[in-house]
Amino acid sequence: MQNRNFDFQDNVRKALGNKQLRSNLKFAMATMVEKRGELFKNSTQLEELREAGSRIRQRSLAKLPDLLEQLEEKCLENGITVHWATTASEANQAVLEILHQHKAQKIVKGKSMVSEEIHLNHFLEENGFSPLETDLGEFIIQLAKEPPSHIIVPAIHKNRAEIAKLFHHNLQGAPYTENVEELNAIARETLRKKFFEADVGISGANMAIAETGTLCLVENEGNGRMCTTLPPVHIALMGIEKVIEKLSDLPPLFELLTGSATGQRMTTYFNLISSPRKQGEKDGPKEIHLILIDNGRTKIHADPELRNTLKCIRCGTCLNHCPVYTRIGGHAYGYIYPGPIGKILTPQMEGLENTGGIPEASSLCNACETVCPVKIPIPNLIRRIRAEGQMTNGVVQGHGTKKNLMETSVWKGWTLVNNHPSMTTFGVKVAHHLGAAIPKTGPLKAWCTERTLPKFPKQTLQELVKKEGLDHE
Amino acid sequence: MSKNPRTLILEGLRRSTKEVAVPTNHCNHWKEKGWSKEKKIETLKAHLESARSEVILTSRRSKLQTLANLIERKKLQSLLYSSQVDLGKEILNHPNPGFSDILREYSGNEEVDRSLLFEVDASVTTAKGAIAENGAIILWPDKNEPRMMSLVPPVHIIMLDVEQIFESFGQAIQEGNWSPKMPTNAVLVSGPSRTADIELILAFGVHGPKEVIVVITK
Repeated sequence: MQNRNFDFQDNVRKALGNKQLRSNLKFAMATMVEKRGELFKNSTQLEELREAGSRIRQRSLAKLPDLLEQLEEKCLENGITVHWATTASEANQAVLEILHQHKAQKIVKGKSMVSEEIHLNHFLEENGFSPLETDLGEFIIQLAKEPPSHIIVPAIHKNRAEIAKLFHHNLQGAPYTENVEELNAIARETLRKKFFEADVGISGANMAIAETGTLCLVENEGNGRMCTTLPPVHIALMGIEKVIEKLSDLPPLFELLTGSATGQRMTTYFNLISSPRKQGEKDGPKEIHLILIDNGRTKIHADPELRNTLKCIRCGTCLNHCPVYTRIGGHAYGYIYPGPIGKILTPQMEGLENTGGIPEASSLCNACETVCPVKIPIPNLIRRIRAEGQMTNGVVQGHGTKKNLMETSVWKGWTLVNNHPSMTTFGVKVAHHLGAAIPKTGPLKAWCTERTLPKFPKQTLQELVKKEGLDHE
Repeated sequence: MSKNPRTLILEGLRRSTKEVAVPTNHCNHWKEKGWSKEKKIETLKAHLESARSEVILTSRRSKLQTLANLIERKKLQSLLYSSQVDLGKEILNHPNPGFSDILREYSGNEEVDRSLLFEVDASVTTAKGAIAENGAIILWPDKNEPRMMSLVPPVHIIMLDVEQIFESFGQAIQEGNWSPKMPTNAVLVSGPSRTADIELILAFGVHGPKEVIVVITK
């Protein structure tokens, strides 16, 4: 869905100028980096684990159609209804149909990035529903009417004073308090009853196991268990790439996910859901629906290099280590996936014509690649996506739209000058005499406003060598 | 004629994977560590405690006395349990008078049971096993010990025996015979529910129990 007001440069400028945001982010990201570092102290073990994670995800993607069919078969055997959706719209419609079928009114929701991706809440609200976010971070941003700013901690851009105000103004009876324990207690009280009253619980799924037809959900708060146990109907949304082959694939991925996402050896809970309530059981939903969502993933999968984007397990650690993300935060990116993963995923999903600036917001420092638990070669993919912006025969939607005549001409001119020594010499002399007067406008303005202009020399390197000789010592 | 989403997706993926080499999968096999019982208990205890669980070690013979002491220490006025499991039968048949007053059970009436879950001070359940390396207790809730028993009451007591402790998650899956048939719901628990969504400051007791107490017998 195109974000019509997306002005990346403007967003970045505003974010960089927001002292509160920068301070919140600096503290939060440093903490998350530290926690992950403390847990993954043994680098040999970590590298083995990352290699295992990478191969497991690669295998899943290589066998994806077979695994999806197997997952469907096992889920159906277990009593889980499986729906397929090629677009966000189809996925939203599938959810709506289930809600209508059950005449559902009250909906509780656990954290799900794919549901944000398809703008489910907005769609449901347009259709007269009010899904209630139950993850504390999502609950906070729902009150603030903002999208999440981070994959794992959606309200990380807010400090306790901002949250205290939000609760006090929006929740009936909530006193103003900046005490974190008290704020949590307010959220707990508000949400507890809602779980029991809900007609439908909506969740995501961190992964699904084809071998057994099992949905896997990690969480710390218990709201995921509540949403997937109490309401009579449970709807799980999942991107098609998240399926894994077997149960034995689970341990390395689980360890990588919780360690990378929050620096925890394990989360409080790890839920494995394989069927609705069976005969004689006293709780659990009576119906479970799994909605498998494509929304551009098949297209990404078609290109062998770009396919690596789909290895992602949504841990968020690339965000935490990215020098760009830590300074501008998630909202600046304008679309649901920020940070390094966003830089390669968003253009592929939304098209380069709308989002071509996003992959440019990278210094290619490689920090993300170094920490990615499944070894996605993010910088290489950023380079590829940037190249797609210039390619008339590319594969990514909007390829070639970043190509412009001026830039192409400048590079042609540059090549010409550097291939002809006499032109290089001439060029250097001109720059020496006129360099300081280069107008700081047009394409050079962005460079010149942030950097000091270099001093252009009188002589070229070749001339200096002719004059002074080379010292090989 | 337009194809349905399932066909479109699968056909698209089949085209892409026609000539893809499948990586060999020998890399996710767990390694046996050869840990002694003591090592397993020690490791499990340390990780559970760092997740803010309370861990009590006791002998099989004294486990019910331990439970009684716990009930007194925590001043529990009610305890949800199941008389259908061996543990429950032992509790029921124990001569300790303190037990009979406070024991509560599911009645089978959903409304009554719902109120019960909200009112009880604590619940006590068995476990399917535990994983020392992760600091996780494995629960396979069923019709006798339903899911909400380990979710709603503010205090959850888990009775576990050392023989049930696996070294690693991989070992638990393989030697615990998880495949091919998984239960309706399986859950790994490491401690009380928590959140750090506000400024990354840790707070406990969100939507799950505020206290988790693991009693390990040997």
